[in-house]
Amino acid sequence: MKHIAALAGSLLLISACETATPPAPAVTTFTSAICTAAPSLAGAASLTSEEPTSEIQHSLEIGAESPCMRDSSGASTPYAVFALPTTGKPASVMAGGVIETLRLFAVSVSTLGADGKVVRTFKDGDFRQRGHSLAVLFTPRAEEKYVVIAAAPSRIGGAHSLVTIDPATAKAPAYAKTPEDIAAFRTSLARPYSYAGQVFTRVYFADPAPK
Amino acid sequence: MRLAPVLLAGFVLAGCASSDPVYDPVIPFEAQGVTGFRLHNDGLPESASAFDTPIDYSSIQNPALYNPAVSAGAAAAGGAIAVLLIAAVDASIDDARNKKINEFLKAQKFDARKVFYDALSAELTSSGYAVELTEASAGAPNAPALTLDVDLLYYGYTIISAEWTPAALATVKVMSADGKQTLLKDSLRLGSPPAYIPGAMLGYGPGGSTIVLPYDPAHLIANEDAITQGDPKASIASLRFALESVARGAADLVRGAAPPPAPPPVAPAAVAAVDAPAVDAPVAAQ
Repeated sequence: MKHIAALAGSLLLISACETATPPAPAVTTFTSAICTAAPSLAGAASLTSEEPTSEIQHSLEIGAESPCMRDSSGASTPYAVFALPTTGKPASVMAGGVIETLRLFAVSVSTLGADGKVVRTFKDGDFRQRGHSLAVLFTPRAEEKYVVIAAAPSRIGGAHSLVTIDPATAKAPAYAKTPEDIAAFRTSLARPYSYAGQVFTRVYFADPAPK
Repeated sequence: MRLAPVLLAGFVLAGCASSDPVYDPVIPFEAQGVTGFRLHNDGLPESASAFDTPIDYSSIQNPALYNPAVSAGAAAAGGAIAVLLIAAVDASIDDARNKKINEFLKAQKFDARKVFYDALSAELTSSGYAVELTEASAGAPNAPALTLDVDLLYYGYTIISAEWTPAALATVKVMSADGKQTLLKDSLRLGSPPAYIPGAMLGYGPGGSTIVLPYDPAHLIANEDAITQGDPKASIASLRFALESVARGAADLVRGAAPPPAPPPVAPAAVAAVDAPAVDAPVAAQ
């Protein structure tokens, strides 16, 4: 009886491994039936804290179901809007895409004024790998009320490299013996940009945000 | 030596129990017209470190796993004495390894401080900033200049699985000319610096704010002995890579925040440094 229970337990464990969700792959195309000329502020994710806090973060997934806007080149792109805190004085804001197992959202970040007009758009060179993300860090100006994270079609087809060398020619470590192992090792050194993926905006406060 | 991080970790955990937020934001800055920096020359620890993954104390702390036949008192102490004994052994192994590595670096005449400040100065001067390297205790700068402080909380090697890689963790600060205002506060990490250092852990989800510098898989060293007894050129090159990566990462932060003046028309060496790949350069299609 004990053996059967143990066996059943092991099978359950094995089946649990088999049914685990595989990491999401990069999505390299995006189309949407409805696409607006500018981002809609309705439904912006709030970054206003109810309690005094040193930092507040909102992360979400952008994908095929996300609202669509046209970027400066007229290309359709999915996006998400975050409303900067309405209380307290943020010391800095970090916004970007999360480096996932197989992909990284093709992140571009802009700030908007209260009227929804773009105040500034960050350049590719402003992004840095921070923690598990590719993000910009900035001190919000008084007129900046929203952060928009959208996919940059220009990034699609490329990848963010985690190494200083070309991943395609990286010398494989001793443990990687088969061609599959070597390919897997090289894949692990970069993340292809994707139209879908996790993004976030985080606000750091220098002092308690007043209620 | 190992007890310090253990105690530190304890304090950090104790800190978690408090509900008061700690206001210590990462600070970017935007500046125009910055022409130079004074660098404090005391940002490196006295010696390199090679930190091994610590022994997992969690199972040892379980008194059920401790044999009371050996010492009833120790069992009553919840295995704490066993933990201290093992921590002491572990620490002495770490100390022996660190000593061996620092003796090796000395024999190789590797001057980490010179390598680091030469690299940082070259990065900044090649962008056209004036650089003055000073003692941290020095008085007001000759000319009004911002102060750039890069503190390496760790540099050396750490273990990943069975192999060793170069590792570093540094904080970067830019202070106003009068020293009263912090204009930039950030941190950089290469490899896997030990978790007891604040900012070394990447965290969950998007993770923390620490900038993760790109690494080079060619710098893996097969095992502990290979650091000091393998190809000395490879060991030195990997440590040099860590220090130069941090220097370039710090310079990139400054270049991004305060657009440099036009580079002076000089020196082939400076031109070569400009051509070096920027740490945060957007990555082209692979």
